Amino acid sequence: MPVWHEKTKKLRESGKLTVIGIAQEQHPDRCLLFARWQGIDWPILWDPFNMTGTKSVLRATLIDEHGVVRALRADPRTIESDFLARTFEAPKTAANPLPEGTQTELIEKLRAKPDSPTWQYYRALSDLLWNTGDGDRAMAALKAYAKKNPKDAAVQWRLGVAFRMRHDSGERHDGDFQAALDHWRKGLDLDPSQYIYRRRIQQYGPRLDKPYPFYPWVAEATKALKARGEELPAMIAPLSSTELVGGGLVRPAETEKEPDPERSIEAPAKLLALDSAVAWSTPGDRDGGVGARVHLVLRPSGNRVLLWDAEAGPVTVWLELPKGWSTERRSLRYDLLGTDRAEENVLLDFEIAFPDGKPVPGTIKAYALYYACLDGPGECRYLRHDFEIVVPKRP
Amino acid sequence: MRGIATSGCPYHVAMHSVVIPAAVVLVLIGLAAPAAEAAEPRVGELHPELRLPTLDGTQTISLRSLRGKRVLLLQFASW
Repeated sequence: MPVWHEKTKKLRESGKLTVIGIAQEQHPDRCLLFARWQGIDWPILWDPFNMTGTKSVLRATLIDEHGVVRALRADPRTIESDFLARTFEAPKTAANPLPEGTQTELIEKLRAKPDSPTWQYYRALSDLLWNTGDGDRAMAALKAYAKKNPKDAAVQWRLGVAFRMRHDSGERHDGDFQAALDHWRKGLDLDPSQYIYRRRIQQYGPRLDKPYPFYPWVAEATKALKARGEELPAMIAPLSSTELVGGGLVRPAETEKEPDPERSIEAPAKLLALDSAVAWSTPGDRDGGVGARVHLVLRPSGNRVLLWDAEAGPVTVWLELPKGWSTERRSLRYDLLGTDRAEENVLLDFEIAFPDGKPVPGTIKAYALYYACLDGPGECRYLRHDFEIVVPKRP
Repeated sequence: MRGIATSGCPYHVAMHSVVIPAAVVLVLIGLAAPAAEAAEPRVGELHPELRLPTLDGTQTISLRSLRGKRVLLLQFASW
């Protein structure tokens, strides 16, 4: 991308070329950070649902002044001679225009006259509902479409994106992230050559299945923007630790000291709730399917108001694995993002390896130790919460 | 869980950081999606129409609005 940015600088400034980026990512904030860090000043669009249908990145497409595609794999060295210096004639046939009308009008048109509800009907309805912000109805339309057209990889992919969007929102449902991973996997099974689908799963999956670390540059970019006095983009979701690491063997935990073996720390019931998701290696993976990445969300739950006490210390989790399983660390730590009392979700992830490299279902026992303030500012304590993480049979 | 309601967004956005300008984030969600079937672009043919939001959610750009210009469309990911 920096190559294109540099190569097209004079062409953009002279008005000879308009450059538009399209980010094929779940989270736009990360790409926005990248763009600001790199000084990219041309517009970048966000295509989380892969509306462009691209199967890979980087794709550099040249489009002439009539809207006609002139190259799908442009070369920065020859863009002037092969594209800008040439003359192109207008096409004889017009493009199929998008339907006219406001989003709401189009939805009503579709709903009023679903000649015979086809997959195109549900797909168009879903697209429009996303546009108007009706996420649940859009997901319902996608599900209906998927039911009528179960072999469509793209709709499975979109459902995964939708579930992950809701997972990152304040309307998160337990199981949303696992549903996202499951739909992404279905999409990849239906279209194994889809590079975008595979990368999305690998983003959250085990280390050995990763071609490279996904977001190792974020810390450097953040530091650089701060040093320049520039505003940082808003974060939709914090980076999970698996998004920062690359391939590598899972090393069993060194000797770690269990923090509360005698169960001496008070463990009131029903203060926290857990949601978990297991990201498996992709089909044809390099690690032979021996690993999995487990993602956890711990959040306040129940009838009492609970605020994490960030000033007092981090949230830690201790893992007790089934016999023969291993992990890099049995003690996990989450540093709260807030500097005071907060009610954020605590997000953790860790890698597991199975005995003899054969994935088997099982249950991980764990407990969290955390500082929290209950029912107002006065009662702040150090507490324990025991929970179990069910690792299902690998799909 | 905190969440902020806003029109035009499918879901309320969780607050993961004390420095989030939430309004910006909220605008991002739910703007993607033209009403047309995605079609694979082919050399020599009109590029399928697209209408997508910018990363910061401040505007939506359609390919149709770029007629009359020579365009380089770069599809990429920051990873």
